[in-house]
Order: sequence, then C-alpha cells, then structure tokens
Amino acid sequence: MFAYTVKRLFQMLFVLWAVSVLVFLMMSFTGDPVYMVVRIDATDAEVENARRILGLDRSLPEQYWFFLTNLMQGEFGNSYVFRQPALDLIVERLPATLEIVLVAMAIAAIVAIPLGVFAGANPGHPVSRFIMSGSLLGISLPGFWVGMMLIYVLAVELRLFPSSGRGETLEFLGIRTSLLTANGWHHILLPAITLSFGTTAIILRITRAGMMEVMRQDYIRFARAKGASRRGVLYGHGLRNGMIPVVTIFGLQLGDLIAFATITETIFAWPGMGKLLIDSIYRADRPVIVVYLMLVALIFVVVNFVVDLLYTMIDPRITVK
Amino acid sequence: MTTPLFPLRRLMATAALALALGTGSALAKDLTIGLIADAVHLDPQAGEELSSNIMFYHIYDPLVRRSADLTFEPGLAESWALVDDVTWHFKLRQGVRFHNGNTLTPRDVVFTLERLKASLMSTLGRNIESFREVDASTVEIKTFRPYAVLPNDLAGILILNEAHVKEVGEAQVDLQPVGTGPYRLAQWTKEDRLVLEAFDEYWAGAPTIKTVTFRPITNPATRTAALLTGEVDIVQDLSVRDVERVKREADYSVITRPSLLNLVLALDTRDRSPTIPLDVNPMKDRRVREAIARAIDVNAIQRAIMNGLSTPSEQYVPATHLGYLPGASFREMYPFDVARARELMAEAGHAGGFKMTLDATNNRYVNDQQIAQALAQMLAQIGITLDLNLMPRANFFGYIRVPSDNSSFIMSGWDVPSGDAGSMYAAMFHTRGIRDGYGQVNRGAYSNPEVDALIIEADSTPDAQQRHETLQKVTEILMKDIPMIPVHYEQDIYAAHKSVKFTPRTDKFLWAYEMDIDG
Amino acid sequence: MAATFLKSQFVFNWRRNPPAILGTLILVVCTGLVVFGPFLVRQNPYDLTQLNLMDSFLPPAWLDGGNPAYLLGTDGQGRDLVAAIVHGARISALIGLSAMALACTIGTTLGLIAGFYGGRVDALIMRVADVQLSFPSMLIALFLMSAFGTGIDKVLIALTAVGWVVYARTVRGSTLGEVQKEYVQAARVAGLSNARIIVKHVLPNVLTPLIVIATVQVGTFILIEASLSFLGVGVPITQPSLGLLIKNGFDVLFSGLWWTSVFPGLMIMAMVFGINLLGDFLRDELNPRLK
Repeated sequence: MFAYTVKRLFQMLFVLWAVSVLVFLMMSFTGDPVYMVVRIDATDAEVENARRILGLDRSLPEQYWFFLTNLMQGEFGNSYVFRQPALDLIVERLPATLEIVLVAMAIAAIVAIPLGVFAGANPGHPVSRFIMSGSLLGISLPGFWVGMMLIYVLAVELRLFPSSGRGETLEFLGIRTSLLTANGWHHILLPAITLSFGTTAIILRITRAGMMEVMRQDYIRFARAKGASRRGVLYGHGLRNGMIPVVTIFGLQLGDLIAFATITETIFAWPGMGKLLIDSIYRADRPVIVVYLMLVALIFVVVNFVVDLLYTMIDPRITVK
Repeated sequence: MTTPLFPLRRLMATAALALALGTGSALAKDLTIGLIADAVHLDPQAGEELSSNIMFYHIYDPLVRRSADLTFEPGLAESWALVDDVTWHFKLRQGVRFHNGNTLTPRDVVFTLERLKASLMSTLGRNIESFREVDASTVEIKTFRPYAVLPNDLAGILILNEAHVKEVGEAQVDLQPVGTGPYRLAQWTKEDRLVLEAFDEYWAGAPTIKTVTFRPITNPATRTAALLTGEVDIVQDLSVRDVERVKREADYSVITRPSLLNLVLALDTRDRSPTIPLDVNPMKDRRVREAIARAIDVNAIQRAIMNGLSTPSEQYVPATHLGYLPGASFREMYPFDVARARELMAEAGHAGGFKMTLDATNNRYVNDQQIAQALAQMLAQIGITLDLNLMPRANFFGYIRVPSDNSSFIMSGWDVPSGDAGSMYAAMFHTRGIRDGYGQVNRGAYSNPEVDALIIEADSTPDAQQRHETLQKVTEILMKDIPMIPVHYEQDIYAAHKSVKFTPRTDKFLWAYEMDIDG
Repeated sequence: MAATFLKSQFVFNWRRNPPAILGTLILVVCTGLVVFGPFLVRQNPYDLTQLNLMDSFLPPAWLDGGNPAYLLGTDGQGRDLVAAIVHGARISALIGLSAMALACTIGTTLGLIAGFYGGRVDALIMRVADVQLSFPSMLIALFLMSAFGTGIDKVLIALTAVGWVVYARTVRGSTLGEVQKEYVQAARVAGLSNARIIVKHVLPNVLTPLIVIATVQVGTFILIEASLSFLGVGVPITQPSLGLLIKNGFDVLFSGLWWTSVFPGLMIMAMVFGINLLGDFLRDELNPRLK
C-alpha cells in the first residue's frame, strides 16, 4: 500500500513536470503576449520596456528555468495580463467551477442511477430500450448547443431562469458559494444541467452494464429464491456490486466535466476557472494557462488515486497493486 | 424577419414576474451595468482596456477632464497656463480628498508622473520631458518640444495618492485602489461583479447614484438576455442583431452614438509585397489603390453586416478632431463604382487582377470577420482574389507589427480619443525608421517627404489653431494618395431600461456620475 | 465459413434491433447528404463571390419573409443554410473520419510495438500515454489548438494527438496476450521476421475490438471539433464546419434568428446519434465483454 502511494506520487510529479515543459514549448508558438499589454502605437523602446517588465526579454529556456526555480519556492508566476499571481487568479475562481461540476454530477447521479438500474434489471423491456437510446442521444448532443437551447427557451423566451452569471454567494468555511442561496440555485441550474448531459448518459450506461453483469451472478438468484423482495435485491445486492465501475467513472468524469465546464462557463458567463482559461488563451497569458493545466492534472491524478482506494473499500476482494 | 419560436411567452410573463423579484432594478438609485468584459486592472498604470478605463474614471481623476463630447475642462487642475513654448503650470484644486482621507498635493502629481514613466503605460507620458512641484498648489510640466495638445494628453493620466501606494505596496494598488474620484471600490469578485459605492466627499459634489455594480458578460447574446430578464439596467455593445428585438420591448431603449473607432484598411506601398506573387507590388500604383477604394461598397457593409449601425468614414479622423478638413469626403472622392474601378485596374496594367492576403482580426472589432468576408466578395469583382488570414487579437497585433513582413493588406481599427489627428498621422503616415516615435505603426511603409515635414511642423508649434491648419494639409494630401482606406466608424450601441437617464460618451466610458434613475 | 456464419448471425441480429436499424438509416441519409449534397445545392458557400450580402438572415422558407430559394433560411453572409449545412457536415465528417484513421494507424502501430517488444520502448510509449490520460481529451485539444491557431490541418493534428492513446492501450493489451500464444512462438522458431509476425499474425487478431472504438471515436471527434470551433479555435471562418455554424448562430440567437444555430445543431446531433446507435450495436455483436 505504501509502495503504491509512493509510486503514484512519483507518477504525479512526472506528469506535472511533463505538463509544464510541454506548455512552455507549445506556448512559444502563440502570439507574443507583449502586444496584448502595450498600446498599438507603442514605439520599439516602449515595447522593449514592457517585455523587460514582463520578463519576456529572456530566452525560452531561461524563462523556463526561472519558472522552475520559482516553483520550488511555491511561486507560480504572475499573469502577464493581470500582473497578479496566476495561482491566486485560478484559486479565486475554483469554487465556482467545482460548484457547477458537483451539481452537474449530482444531477447525473440522481437521473442516471435509477434509470440505469431499471434498464439493467429489465434488459428486454421496451422502456429500457427507450432509456438506452435516449442515453445515446445524450452522448450525441454537443453540450454547448444544449446550453444555447436551454438559454433560448427557458431564459429568453419563457424567462423562467436567469441567463447568465452566478447569482448571490455566501461565505461558508472561507469559501464563497452560491449553493446556500435560493438565488444562487436559480442561477446554477441551467449551466449544471447543460454540463450534466454527457455524464448522465455515460453513468446510466455503466450502471446498466454493471447491473446486468451482477444480475447474472448466482447469489442474486439465491437471494431471489430465498424470497427477498425484488427491490431489496436490486438495491441491496445488485447495486452495491454494480457500483464499482460507476465509482471509477465518476472519477474519470470529474476531469471531463472540468474540461467541458470551460465551454459551459463561457456560454453562461459563469465566473469559474474554465472561463479564465479560455480568456487567457485568447490573451496568450501563458502563466495562467500553465498553472491551470497543472492544477487540473493534479486534481485528476488525486481523484484517480482516491477512486482506486474506494475500489478496495467497496469490494474487499480487490487489492491495489 | 424575426419569428419567435415560442408564442406562449406572454402566458409566462406573470410567472416570470414573480421570479424576477430579488433581481429587481432601480429601487434605491442603484445601477447594474453589463459590460463586455471584466476590468483587468484598477491600477491605471498597470494596463488599459475599455473596462478598466471605465473603472479608472470612477475611482480616479485626471488633471484635465475630458467631457462627454471630447472637449476639455478642468479636473484636479483648476487652471493652467503656458509659461514658455515648452513649460506649463498647472494649478491644483484646493482641498480635494482621496478616498483614504488624504488631501491632494502637488507631490501626488509628481509621484504619479514618476511612477508612470517607469510603468507599462509610459506611452501616456511620452511627450513629457520633466515635471516638478513649484509651490503648494502648482505643478510644472515641460515637454520635449512645443506641444499644443498637452492638456489632451493629461486627460489620460490619473492621479494616484503617494502615501497609499507606499502603504499597500505596488502590486496591491491593482486590488485596493484609492483615488479622488466620485466612487470607491466596495467589492470585486473577478469575472462576476465589481461594486462601486459613492464617495460623498467628491470635490464636484456627491454622486446621485449610490451603488454601481458592473457585471462582465462577454457573450453578446447572453448580455442582451441579462438586460431583458432585468438582471442589468444598462448593457454596453448591444449586438447589432439584437437592436430590433430590444426596441420592440416597451421598457427598454436603444441608444447609439458614433464611436471614435475608425476601421481602416492599410495598403502596402513597398516595391514588393509579401503576399502578392508578383515582381512589382501593384499597390505601388495609386490607380490600383483608388480602384480598391472604389470597389468597396461601404454602404452595403453598413446595411447588411452592421444592420445600419455604422457611420461610413469621410476621413481618417472624425469632424470633432484637430486636422479634420471640412467638406472633404472619401465617399465622394471615391464612390462605389465597380466599372470605374475595373478601368483603373486596366489602366494600371492589372486588368487580370492579382491575389493577396487580408490580415484581420476575428474577435476584436464589431463583426470583423463578416466584414473581411464581404471585402473578399467585393474585391473579387475587380479581379483581386483575397485570401483571408483571420486571427484572434492575441496573435494579430504582433503579426502585423512594423516592419509588417507578412502583410500586404491589413484591416484594423484606430481611435484617437485625444481629439487630435496629429498622433495618428505621426504614428501611421510618417516615413518609418527615421525618427523615434514616428512611423511606428506605418504598416504599409507609406513615405512622402512632404507629409513628414508637415507632421514635424505640426508637432513643433505650441499654437493649437496653427497645428490644426497644418494637419489639415496632411489630411488633404493623404486623401489624394490613399495610403489607407477608411471604412466606417462603429456605432457604440447601448441598451438601457427606460428609467435610467444616461447619455453615452464619445470615449465610451460609461460614467455613473453623469447618470440618474427615475423614481 | 465462420465469416459467413458471423455475417448471417450479424444480419439476423441487426434486423431484430430497431435502434441499430434507425442508426443505419440515419447514417445512410447523412452519408448521402455529405457525399452527394454538395452537388445538389446550387450554392457553394465557400465561394464568397457567390454569396449575396443582401440576402443575409432570411428566415426558413415556410416563415414570413422566407424565400423559397432558401429552404432553411440564410446566415449573416447570405449563405444558404442548406448548402452551409451540407458543406459543413462534410467538413465535420471528413475531420472525424480522417482524424480517426490517423489516430487508429498511429495508435495501433505504437501499441503493437509496445506489446511485441516490451521493455524500454513499451515503458516509454505507455508513460506518454499515462501523462496524456491524466488530461481530458477536450482540454488537450483545446490547448493544442490555442498554440497552433485555427485550421483544418491543425484540428486533425490535435485530434490525432488526443485519439491515439486508446488504440495503443487496447492493442498493446491484446498483443501481450497474442505473443504468449503458441502460433506466435512457432512463427518465431520458424525464423519469420518480427515485422512479418506482427503484420501477418498479431495484427489480424487484435483488430476486432478496434472497430467499435473507431466507430464511436468518429462521433466523439465530430463533437470535439464542433466544441473547438465553437470556442473559436477550430476551423477558420472561410471553411465553416457545423460547430462554427452554430457559433455564428449563437451570436444572433437572441435576436430571434434561431434557424442559424438550430439546424446545424440538429445535423450534428443526427450524425453523431446515428454513429453511436450503430457503435452500440457493434459493441454488443463484436465484443460482448466490452459493454
């Protein structure tokens, strides 16, 4: 177990390092960030001055070396555009992103698991077929298009929901969240539903597959023969064992949700870190992009690690290797 | 033309009303404004773009204030006088307070200018040679050479409080701004909202509107929706396509005003041009440049792409500016005339046309990529095949920067908030590479000794009228030479709830101090 | 013999599976539109000289102000939406298919090499795959495109870079299994070259699971490309894919010009839905374990 953790840790560091190198290299292809901060009619001397202030007068390897040495001291570099620490900019926006991701995941779980259990327990049922085809439709929809349609119909035409923004937030344990106010929930629903579509479909399919697998097992038949109620068997025995792949998928989906949140946040003007990423890409703000990608990689690796641990808890037969 | 998908909207109106409570607007003279982007800085020397500028002018004051229609009036300086050709004395208003309670002194002005010279925004003070405190209420500023429009320049320099900057540290100025302006910062949640509250001790009187909330809503469609759902009271840059829709709503009005941003096409005049596969650059020939000007149907662009919301440009600068030549119009000199344009091409020996690339942005100016496509359609009529090279702004300005080694034909915007054509002419039309600070944006490498001489002459007179007349001569030559084709001025389009009283400013700065709310 | 049996069983199952039939029908129609559509519409939406600015934003023909010449209306450039959708779908499909082919070829090759040779090569390839798998593919593609700039070729590179991993992993796994088997050992003893063993013996036996992956990936790629274009970092505006059409439509959606985004969106949905319905069926048929 210890050896496993250490191995994962090294793997993680390797991933983070690889990301930083790649991002530095790739970003040298993009526009020169200095032209984003100087006035259009700046003279060459003024451009050089700005370049020096931003630290862009050094060669790329030098810049990378500075980045690494600063990193060792916990400094992630300053945004070219905001002139503030890139990490602060991202962490500031992290709660907003986690908020829609978690709500989207909750929506996905609430919708997908019961439907998946039903479809898995009754494979031949026409309703199951309908559910399954419906879930395929969910995967087939471009998320941004769903968001647009929701805004158009529910926010603009019917005026049932606000079209954008985060609504009121309250501070809770030092984190600003909109999940504590009615107005906040009112704002979060449309983006979260938009984001949840793909995940709902995937979790539904995995739940169904897990259920079908489990329902074939002998112990389920025994339990039924013993006279346990159908519902009891489904949720007590079936679901518990069918959940293993579902847990993994939740972990994997977290990364995808964070990635797709960039688009959802852009459409709904949701002040999260995904929107910051898109804006930073448009502004060639390399420090922010680097830190964002490293942070997402970190979240992803940690979540996968936790998922592996959960695995062993749900099913004691599996040991991590 | 527009057809609602959902006619049941009327039915839902009542239900929506209930839900709209809590997001209600215009109750206690509070105002919410939907901007196209969040402010990036609150430190006026850290950078500039429109949203930050809007905040700057709420929080800080300049020595000379630019009014809504581009005239200049006293700001923190109550008067000023020219001591000799290059020396100015500015007399500060007495008893002006900063938000932290400190009183404005000449020392603050000197500190501001010192800090500016070392900052990213040093461009703002490029004509200032030196400055010093003369007495308890006077600041002296010297320019490098006689410079008639110094007060215009100073309208862009906002005064900081030295004690405050030293207290919070350089980097924090961006997050904890303190100025003398009518509003002070109450809350800033990045990308979500920036809240300003009235500074009741403001030297020109306490503001009427007590709280102003700015919300960044980048997407034009979302911004319109936020207005119509009552989340914001005013939106900036209403999409041209949404104008009709908002006008149909009884409670909202659309307010337009021609902007200062002139969309211009720079033509390469070098011997050979980077994207034209010919030994000689056809655009060296003035007739080809005229043909291009005549082939572009600016009115069609206005009607079909800008939905009527643009003003075809007559010259390089608007009529309010020094250097504008009354009566001269590009649109009358070179009206849209494909037949004549083809003749000119033939006379120049290019009846068969040629091929070149247009460099343009795809997210910087209103409908920029649609305009680029329309230009391709139009120039095809005279045999010019236009390849479009569309870039996001992050790449664009570095790509086209002088010496413009990749470009033959560039579409970009230029605005001159200082009210003076001189800075534009110096940067864009003076021969490049021979004089520091001149010709640095001359992307087509236009070179005319006569123009150079006149620009220098204008820049060395301390007399504004004389400067105006000299610049007019430049305007006249340029319009004959066509080194650049002006297309149109964008219109600044706002939409607001009917209860809000506001008049847009020429410089686009939405300034709550000048606004009011009914009831 | 076996092939014929599989085929008849396959067809038999297909005929009893309404979603599979629906998927096939959708795909046949879409393929028809993508292949022949551009010859049937009278306008080439990329040729700017054929567009008439004065016809911009006409509503669909059945609505007030519609023009029968433009069945689904026009966009802001006066582009016939039917033509734009047919051409856009062609770009989307072409990108999806070519990127899949590239990713599949590269991924399979690397997977075979990793599985067959093992050792350092294997470790290197799999390490790269691991790094890549720590990122959602959408993010990688987004980042690559932001570095490269827009263009169909660049979208292809980005999608290939994102897509090869899944093939490499699957193929490596099956190759490891195959290498143990007697026939490979026998071929080695017989002195056949490694390349020959890989191509002749291992490859055919690891291909089946790839069919499902490849099918579904085309759909995924179409969606990723649409998202990239929607964010403005995909294809250039002069060659609008379906995603870019939706993006252009989004800018005017609230002005009531819904047709410019609704119809391209429906087209993407139909294409990807058809692909996924068929992929689902193939999964059940070819590889029951992969559910």
